[in-house]
Amino acid sequence: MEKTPASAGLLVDERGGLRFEAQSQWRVLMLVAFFTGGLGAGVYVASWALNFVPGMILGLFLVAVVKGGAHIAYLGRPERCWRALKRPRTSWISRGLIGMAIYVVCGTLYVIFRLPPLGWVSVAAAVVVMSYAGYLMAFSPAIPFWNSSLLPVLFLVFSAESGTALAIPLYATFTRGVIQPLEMVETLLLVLVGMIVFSYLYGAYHSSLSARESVLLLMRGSLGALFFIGVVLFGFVVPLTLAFLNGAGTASLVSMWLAAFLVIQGALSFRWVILRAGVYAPPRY
Amino acid sequence: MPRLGMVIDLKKCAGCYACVAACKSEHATPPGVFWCRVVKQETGTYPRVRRSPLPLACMHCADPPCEQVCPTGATQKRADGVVFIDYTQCMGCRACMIACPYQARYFLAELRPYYEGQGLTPYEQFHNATNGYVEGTVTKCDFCKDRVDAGKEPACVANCPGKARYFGDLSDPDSEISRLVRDRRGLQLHPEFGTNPSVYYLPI
Repeated sequence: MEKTPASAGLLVDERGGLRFEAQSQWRVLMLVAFFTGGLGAGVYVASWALNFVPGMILGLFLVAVVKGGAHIAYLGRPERCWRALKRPRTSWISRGLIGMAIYVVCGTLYVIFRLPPLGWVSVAAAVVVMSYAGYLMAFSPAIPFWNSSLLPVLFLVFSAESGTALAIPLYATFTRGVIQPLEMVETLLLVLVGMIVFSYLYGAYHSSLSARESVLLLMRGSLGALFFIGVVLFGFVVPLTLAFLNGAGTASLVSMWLAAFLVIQGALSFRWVILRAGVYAPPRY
Repeated sequence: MPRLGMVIDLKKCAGCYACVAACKSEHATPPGVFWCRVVKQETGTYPRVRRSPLPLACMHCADPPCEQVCPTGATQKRADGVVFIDYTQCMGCRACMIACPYQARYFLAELRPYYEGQGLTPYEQFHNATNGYVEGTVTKCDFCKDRVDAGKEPACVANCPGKARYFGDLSDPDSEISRLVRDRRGLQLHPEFGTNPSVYYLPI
């Protein structure tokens, strides 16, 4: 636990409060990359389970083109991006890029040739794509709010949840088929997401002053509005209510797309508030 | 193997910003980039309060998180402990900026001139070229490694009017900075992160 201002050499602002500086490097482009990576890999895995080719193609497109494009646009020297393959031993960016490359190559080959081993490898790589952003953030000690072992789990479950939410109406639209097991999985994932988000925020609030400041930042002002309305209400409560009201396998196509939209915007909003609420611990000795 | 380090005596530091100016003069960093900076710190509770300067720069950690997260190997640590950036390898992902607990890194989005609308002066052009600054990369303090290799002290140490900064070998128990750290109980910033900084502060 960090010490209080009175007992330690801490930076303070004009009003005597601790001066926490929010991270300003990872913003919209990284949000797009993290979000589309999770969504794309999630919809690929769900579509692979259903043997649903259009969903797999969409998943590959989201990761290869949208996520890859956002990363390239973000880099200061994009022509050097190949160098990111050099340090998988210590860097999660390297690991993520390798996972992404394996996912795109094996996934594309699987869609074309339908060889089961390629499918298994692409799904394993998709799991890396879904979770590595969480590892990347969790291994940043400077921002205590992110420095949590729950964050990779949260990113993985959020990706699976949003991917499954998109795969359900997509499958129903293309095939007119109903997939009750996947709808039940989606409901379970929603409940799981709710539990992990609560545990993550509760743990962060009680871990350090900086992480607590992040949690408070996340619940105040415009970030707070986005968190409570975008993530909690429309990203969790309403889709869960819809799922229980409709019951597995009885929902209309419109209601499925509405639930998918709500869940996906919830996943997007959550990543945004997490990125924006990350604050550095003030210098202290 | 030596481990180069610095000790900053907060009793002697007057917060005059001479170190900041010396660093700017030595490295001619672009506008808005401060490898060395001084922030003001308040301690105590009313009526016993103290406002004192806290010089900050790269801590040249023994276990630098910036080096671990760097995907290209652009951030490197020399055998003597100096952490530096190879601008020819950096791809500008800024993961190091996120990972650094001391916010010692700056992103060079563009090499802006000091005199807006007049372009880079010959002085700026010379220093940008000789220091190897590259747009789209990250930059930070390199402990004046060129000066150190030439047997000199870093510019911030050599130019401190209060002699508040000491530079030397932390691995040598008989060096001046090792004795200062030992005798005056030198403290590191954010020891809880386990980065083991090579910059120590002697408390007020």
